[in-house]
Amino acid sequence: MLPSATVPDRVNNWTSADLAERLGGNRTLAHELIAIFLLEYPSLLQSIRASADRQDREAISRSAHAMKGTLANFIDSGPTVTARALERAAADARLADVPALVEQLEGEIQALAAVMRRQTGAR
Amino acid sequence: MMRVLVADDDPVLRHALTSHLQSWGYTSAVVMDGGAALNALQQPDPPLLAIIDWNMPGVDGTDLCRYIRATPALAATYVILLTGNQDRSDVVAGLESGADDYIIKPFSWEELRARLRIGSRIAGLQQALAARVDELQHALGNVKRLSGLLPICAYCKKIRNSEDYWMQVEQYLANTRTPSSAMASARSACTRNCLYTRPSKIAVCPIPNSSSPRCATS
Repeated sequence: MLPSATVPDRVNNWTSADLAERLGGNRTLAHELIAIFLLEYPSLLQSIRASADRQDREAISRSAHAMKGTLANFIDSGPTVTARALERAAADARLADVPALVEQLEGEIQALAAVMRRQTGAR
Repeated sequence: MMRVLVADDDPVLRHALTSHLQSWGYTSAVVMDGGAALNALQQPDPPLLAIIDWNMPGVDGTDLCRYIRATPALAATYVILLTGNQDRSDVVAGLESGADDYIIKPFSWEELRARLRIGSRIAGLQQALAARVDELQHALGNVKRLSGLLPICAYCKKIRNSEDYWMQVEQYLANTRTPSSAMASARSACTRNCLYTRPSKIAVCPIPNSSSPRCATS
């Protein structure tokens, strides 16, 4: 996990209220979406790690794309940008860039998840 | 209430779409991959609107669009393709696969709502048009059947009635007004004058010098 200093401010400053506003003011729906994300992201991260370990370009690209899509529901910077960079690196066969991007992505997502848990009381 | 097929492998977006669609007055059929979407589209009375993610496991969004466009029963289905692909070439490829509209993720919910309203209107018009075409085809079938009921001899211009008797037009018309009396005179006239019995099509009585059966009277 990245130290919080290297996590973009947009992640640390993320609020569920902003999400609710994007959802037309529906706080209940915002909390439901956060709960689903907190439940689902570990397996998506695991899938990215596993495909990176195998150096499977297609699988890295596919799993990074899925992670990017899920993250984009919550934030358009930080981990979403990193997931996009990872997807692109795999598509362009820049496998040397993959480990660092996976590490950065994991740190940013863990930071975002921590912020979400703190704000919603979710586990 | 119009039904919308939602096909996306992202559980967060699926839930958000379901919730919004419900609040906007739509009912939704929600699936998590292309294969399940294909199955939903093959059921009787498929949804008229479809929000389909491009990148899904198995059958992807563009494959689904091509299937929809190649299936006459889904001619009225309005498809909105969702994707994270932002390149202009991707937009073109998505639309060329048969999508009616294309939305790049992340999107504004109000924008999606407006686009769905357009899709709903167009799908409704398509459905009404298809129903009208069906009505017209049915009516055309009736016209063909009716035309077969009035065989007119091209030579002597008599009309064959439903009982296979040939009648002058005036007699035929009078017969339709006073069926019982006209029928009696028509029966005797046809027995006496018309040798031609069963034309296969309307208004076709072979010409007099033909060797086939003909109406022998003028």
